Amino acid sequence: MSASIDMKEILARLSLKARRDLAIIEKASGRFAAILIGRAQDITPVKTGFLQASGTWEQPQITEDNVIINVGFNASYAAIVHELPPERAHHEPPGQWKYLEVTLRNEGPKFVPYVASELRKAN
Amino acid sequence: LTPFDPANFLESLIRFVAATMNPALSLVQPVEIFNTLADEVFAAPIWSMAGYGAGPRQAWEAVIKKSIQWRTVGPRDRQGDVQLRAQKIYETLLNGEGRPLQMKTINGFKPDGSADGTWQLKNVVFIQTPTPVGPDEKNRTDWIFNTDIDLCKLS
Repeated sequence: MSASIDMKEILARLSLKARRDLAIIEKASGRFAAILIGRAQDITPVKTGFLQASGTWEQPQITEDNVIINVGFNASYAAIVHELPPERAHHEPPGQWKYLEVTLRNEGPKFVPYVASELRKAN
Repeated sequence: LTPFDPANFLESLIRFVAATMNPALSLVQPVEIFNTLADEVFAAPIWSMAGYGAGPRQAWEAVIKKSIQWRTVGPRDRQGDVQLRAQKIYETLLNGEGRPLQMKTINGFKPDGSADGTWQLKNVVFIQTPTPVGPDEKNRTDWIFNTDIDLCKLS
């Protein structure tokens, strides 16, 4: 007695699921980056508003075992403002130095749980 | 646990870095470690370090976490010197294999230069490598990198 299973359909479904999951991960990563930059903008020092408005993020880079999304501020002087401690420059509250680093320290650890929860919801 | 005195730790760390640099740097005055005063006292290139907040202290942990900004500044026409100095400071925090220091014991010093037991650098985490952040507020070349250091007082 013998039996056989046609794996083609199963493999096709698995492949479709993988593609859907990747799309969910990509969307969730982008949403997380938008929230993160928004939080950073809340504490970015504002003089003209150019620095605050230059907050941005790139398309997520998804590999087999990692998801990377670059976030940052495009203003040419973003780095120096970021690294100027209060002893050297006045930042009108709620603006502060380390506006991106502080946000990343607070929000960064939530990235994986957030993407995972979005995946669970979709499945 | 020995109470953590950040001034003593910064003094100890700066002396370790100065002695480890190639060639070793002799610290003329401890004022070199202070971010704000160094600007006014020293000709370029100068370097400085400053501790900043690193999240909530975990009282149940023997390990203390300290974030430190390492800054090297100099005149615009000596950008190469400033970059080289920043790189040399960075390299003092690497081991022989080019990896961040771990479990490194350093001698302790108080700000007045007197001995103060030993510290252990449990783990050094680089937030970034030395990076130019643009002319500072006095139009000087400014290179910065940041580290998180897990440490404890051994004796």
